[in-house]
Amino acid sequence: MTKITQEIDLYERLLEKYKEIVLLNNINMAIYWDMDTYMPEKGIEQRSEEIATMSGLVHARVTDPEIGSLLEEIKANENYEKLSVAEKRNIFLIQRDFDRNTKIPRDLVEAISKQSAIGNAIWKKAKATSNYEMFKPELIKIFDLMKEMANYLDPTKDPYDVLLDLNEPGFTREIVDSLFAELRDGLKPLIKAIMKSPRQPDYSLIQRKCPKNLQEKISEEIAKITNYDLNAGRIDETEHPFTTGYYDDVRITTKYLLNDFSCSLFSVLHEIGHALYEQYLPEKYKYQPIGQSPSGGFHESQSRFIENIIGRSSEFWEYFLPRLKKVTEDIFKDVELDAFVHAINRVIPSKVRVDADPVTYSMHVIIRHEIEKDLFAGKISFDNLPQIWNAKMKEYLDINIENDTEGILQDVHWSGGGFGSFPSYAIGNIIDGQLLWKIEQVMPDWKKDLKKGDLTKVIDWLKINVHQMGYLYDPLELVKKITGEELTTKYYLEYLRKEYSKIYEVK
Amino acid sequence: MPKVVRKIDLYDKLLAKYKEIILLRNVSGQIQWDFEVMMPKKGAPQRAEELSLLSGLVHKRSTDPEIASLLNEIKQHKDYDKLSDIQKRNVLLFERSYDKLTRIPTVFAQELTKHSAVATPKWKEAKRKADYSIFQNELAKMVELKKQQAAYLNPDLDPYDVLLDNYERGFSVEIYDKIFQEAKAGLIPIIKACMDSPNQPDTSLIFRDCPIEIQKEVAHDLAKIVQYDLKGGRIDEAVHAFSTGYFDDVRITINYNPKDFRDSFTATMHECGHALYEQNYPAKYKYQPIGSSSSAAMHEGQARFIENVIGRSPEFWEFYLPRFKELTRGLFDDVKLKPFIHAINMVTPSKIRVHADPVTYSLHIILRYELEKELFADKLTISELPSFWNEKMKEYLDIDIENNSEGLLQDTHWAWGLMGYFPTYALGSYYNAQLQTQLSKDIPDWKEQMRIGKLSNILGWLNTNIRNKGNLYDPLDLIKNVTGKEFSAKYFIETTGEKYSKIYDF
Repeated sequence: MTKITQEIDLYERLLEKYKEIVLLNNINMAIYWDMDTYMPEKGIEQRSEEIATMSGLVHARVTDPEIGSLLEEIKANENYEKLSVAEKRNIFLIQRDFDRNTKIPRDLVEAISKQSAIGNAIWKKAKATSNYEMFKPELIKIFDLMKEMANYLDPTKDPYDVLLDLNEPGFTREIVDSLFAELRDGLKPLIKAIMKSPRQPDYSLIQRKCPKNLQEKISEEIAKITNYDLNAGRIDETEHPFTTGYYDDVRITTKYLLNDFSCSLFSVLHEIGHALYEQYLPEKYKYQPIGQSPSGGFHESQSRFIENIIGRSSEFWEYFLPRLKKVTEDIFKDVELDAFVHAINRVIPSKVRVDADPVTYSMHVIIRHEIEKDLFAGKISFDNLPQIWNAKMKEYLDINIENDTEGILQDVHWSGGGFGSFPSYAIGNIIDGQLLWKIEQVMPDWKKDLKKGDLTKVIDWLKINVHQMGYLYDPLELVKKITGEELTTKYYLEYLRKEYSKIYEVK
Repeated sequence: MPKVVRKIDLYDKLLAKYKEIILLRNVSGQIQWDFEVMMPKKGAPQRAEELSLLSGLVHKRSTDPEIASLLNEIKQHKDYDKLSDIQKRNVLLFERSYDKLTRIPTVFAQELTKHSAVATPKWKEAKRKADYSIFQNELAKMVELKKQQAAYLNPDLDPYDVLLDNYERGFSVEIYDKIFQEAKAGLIPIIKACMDSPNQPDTSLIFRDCPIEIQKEVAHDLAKIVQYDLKGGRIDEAVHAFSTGYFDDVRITINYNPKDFRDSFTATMHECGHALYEQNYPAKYKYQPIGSSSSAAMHEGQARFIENVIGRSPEFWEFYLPRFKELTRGLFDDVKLKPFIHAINMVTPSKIRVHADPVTYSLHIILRYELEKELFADKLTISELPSFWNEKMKEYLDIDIENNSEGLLQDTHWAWGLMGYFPTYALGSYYNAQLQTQLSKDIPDWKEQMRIGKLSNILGWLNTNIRNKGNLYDPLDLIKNVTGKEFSAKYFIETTGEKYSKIYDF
């Protein structure tokens, strides 16, 4: 009997389904960007409905049973083994997401999103009135929901491990604990020494009034020197700087403060670090799971590399300070290089994480991690979180927290259930130390180029070794692949000690 | 026996389906706006993929068979008659749009799209080389396809009637014949009188260099005057002026020409007129079929009301000229009111439709209508079109067409298959004239009010009578409801004659 058959490439079909999800997410990013930048204020209600509809479409697609059956068919197919490593990786990543998305019941997803919205509103009020007790019941509710979610994802594992793994695949509490303990123990004496140093910076050098139009010119200079392609991106102003987009359209935002141009300058460097990652993902991986970075921590490593390791180095400023003076029409004419570099590398423990300098920053993250893991282990209660917070701030940074607004209530993350997401920020720093160590091995002279304003070699290195790897590997594997060593805090601490002992003249 | 039942409100369910379509269309509109105004240029291919995905999603939802069964169930339901008029109107409008989309077989719709993709570059080439023969065959095929499309939409009517009704509800050859006959008879003498008048405008009063920054200030000032709400909208610069959006977020774009401020002036007034329609639908109609304009031509009419009825009126400029002089920092200081009003109301027959003034414009449209009508009635062959065109241009506007680029081939519409669409371009101004006549009865001193810059009553009148009614009525019904009279072109002739006889002194 004749059969009428047609061959379907199952792998192609799977990727087609994935592409649609990427496109829908990109559309959502575009309308979010608009909401944060140019949307007229009355548009908010309509926009929320649009976003909800788009999210519904995405959810239906990431849990589409056809993805499940395609995955099964592909894996059972006789030719599965003949697929390339990249193809198998794509299948693996789709499978991992599909499992996660289908394990969580729809009701729970909705409960979490509803509680996030409520929690966020109450957090705002509580923060404004410094009232932790007001926020506590909402915090407990979202915490329980996230714990429930973790249980659905993997009932055999510690919930905090599950949440960490969602943010940084491959990381566990044990790994983070040991990295952060080393980091904390290394940072404490360094910060102490810096604080005691008689050589303190003159920050007023930076706090000179600098009009917005000149600061916009600085942003353009930074874009040029870092090779951020403005034909595939743009720079706008928002309350909180961010990066959004995909491949050929990746946009950044910054915030201009008239009395501190460095605020925007370092935001722009930071966000460009994120944007370059997206712009330099391999073209051939576009619309595939491997066409993205492996984790928030890795993304953060790239933004911080541009912002801190390059952007705060004296070599970079040897080139850029004269440019800055020219662009800003002599506002900074009398400023000298050493004093300037010292000022932009000022270390000063702060109450608020987002105001922290690169050295004390990780401490803020460590405190959050320690609290989160103890909460999940049931070792501490929600009742005395403010006391625990304040005690740690005193111990690690010698800072007295006067009220919860500047303490436990400062960050938005927990109100939306973002447990296990803070460590990524510090992991980015740790990865940077190790990348830097590698770069200095293969290009010992790399900093000489910075003095000439030539960032090509170092950014190319990042492009080839980090960006172009996409999501072929999970973060810990990728670090090892690039540097040949397991992730360690050793190199990051070495970098900090070397740089800051020089600047602050301490041992 | 007990039954496990759940009651579903079928009407609510139908509206929920409609709402999803609207939301997706709005998202699509938003990212198109971004494409035109904000997007870095390398983003184009990604954006094209996003737009095509969205339009597929919209199409799928708009043709969802569940809509048909919901419509059926609702209409056959014992309680259908108890629905309010508004609810019934929603059902009717949704049914109409569903029908339009589903009566055309997908294969045919694709063929039409495909042919348009073939015909458009041919038309471009033909226009560039002024060689009609390059486009002729594609045009002939497009006409055949459009006849076929009309047969799918309604096999009982003449194809051209179907197409006319498709673009503006309620219109037919019979109606257009009547209004265009009247318009032609009235306009040709007015144009002649203008041309023959010894009193001709001094264009040096308007063709002056005016920096874009200044024009932007003027645009924002005008937006405020016509009450365009910038908390629910915004003004940006783009290559083409357009308006886009929905209810609480309706944006306009303006094109600026440093050599001719009129481009941005008319664009601002025109696009504000469109945006005001959208911003002033009743909030309770949001996400419902009635939360839209009565028709495309009514929308265009609202745009031209602000642009022409207000923006080119002598009374408005009596108020605005001093303010305009101040904003333009001396560039127009020597300009006197009367000659200036004459200059911005200059009447000059032109070869090209899009360059035409409000008086001669209609004749460009009438010519196209007559041509399409004859063509669809097989009274005119494809090869006869150029001579038909050129003779009419001579007859109506006393213009000699030298080649087809500036004649028959000037517009892209036919390559896109938009036969039957041109006539709607004339309607907006005719609607406005009839509305204006009623406005003069309801607010006899409305022009006096403009002289002192008091537009609130006029704008309020437009809100009450047009914008706030959304899509409760088809355009011909709406005009009749507001004015108490059947739609007619005679008001357009009257208001035009009255205005231009004063300006040109005849």
